[in-house]
Amino acid sequence: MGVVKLSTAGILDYQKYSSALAGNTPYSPFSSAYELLETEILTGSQASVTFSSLNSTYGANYQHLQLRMTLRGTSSSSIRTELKLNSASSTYASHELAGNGSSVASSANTGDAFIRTGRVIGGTGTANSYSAQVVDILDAFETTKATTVRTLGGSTGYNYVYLTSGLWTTLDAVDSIQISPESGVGSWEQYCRFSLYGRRAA
Amino acid sequence: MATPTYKALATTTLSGTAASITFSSISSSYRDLVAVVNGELSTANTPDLQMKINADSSNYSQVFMRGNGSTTASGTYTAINLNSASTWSSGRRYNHLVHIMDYSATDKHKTVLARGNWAGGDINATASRWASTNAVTSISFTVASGSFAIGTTFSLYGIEA
Repeated sequence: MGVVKLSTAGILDYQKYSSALAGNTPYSPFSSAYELLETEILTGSQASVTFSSLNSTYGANYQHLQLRMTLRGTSSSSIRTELKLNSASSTYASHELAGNGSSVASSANTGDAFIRTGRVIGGTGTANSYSAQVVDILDAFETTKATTVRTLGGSTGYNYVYLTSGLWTTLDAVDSIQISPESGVGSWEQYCRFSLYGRRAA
Repeated sequence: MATPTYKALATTTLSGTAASITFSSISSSYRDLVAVVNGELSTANTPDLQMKINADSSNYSQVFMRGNGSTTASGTYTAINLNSASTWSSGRRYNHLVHIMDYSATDKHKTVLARGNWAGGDINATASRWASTNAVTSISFTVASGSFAIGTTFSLYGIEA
């Protein structure tokens, strides 16, 4: 067969692509057992942030959840972070090991209305400074054990570094997570960021 | 829709001793960075294993806590010291997992959380701040004296948000 010249002369409507992908999504061999599920970055102050419908949306595919957050309150020099599961207002316990720049201390709270994931900088703290927390919620969707939570967090805007553990003494699957600043002490500040990740089950 | 993330961006395994290593030209495509350092020191010393951001030699603050099996301590530094033990011995291993939060954001200072272990020495946690709203584009790990031993690994991961 001889060489045939291809021409666009007879095509009335066409588009030229410089990429062979021609608008198609490129194939990526990258896969991961760790996936971003949802994220919220505040464009203004907000009283709390809630991730909901988690069990129905993610329960079949994920074993553990992780929250990665940068936090700052609108009031006070520092505030407590309060985490609620499924809007439950009791049956929580928390423990903390913390350093404040001069000493290390441990504390415990039981019978709480929330899990304490650690103190964060408040609105009167150093400008542009945010605390950070990485919170693991283990076996979030299992109904055979109470849900446990662990946190690494801190900041130097409010000198505090801590490891915390939390317990929700209920066997329900986690369907919602609410993250609130200390009750009665302002809101979350603009630019706070709340990201929820899932670790896949095999 | 869920997005696979925690992507490996770079890994360095030392084939010779080195006083520092740098990850540069870091893409701003992610929200957080996670670095893992695992290795030994080539000689016994007081290293102050530090992390620097964008080659900045100042603007850091840190609060740490540590325990060595008999006592606990907490203090502050004007540097990101990943290990604040007073003296390390050669041949002892250390590892650090470092979260650089919101590294690509330009609306806040950068907070760095780290958990470190010095096998046979201590266990620690640190919270640090780089007082800049610039995006992080490079990260260096250095030891003030001595060097990282052969086989020390440095890994960098990116996490989307």
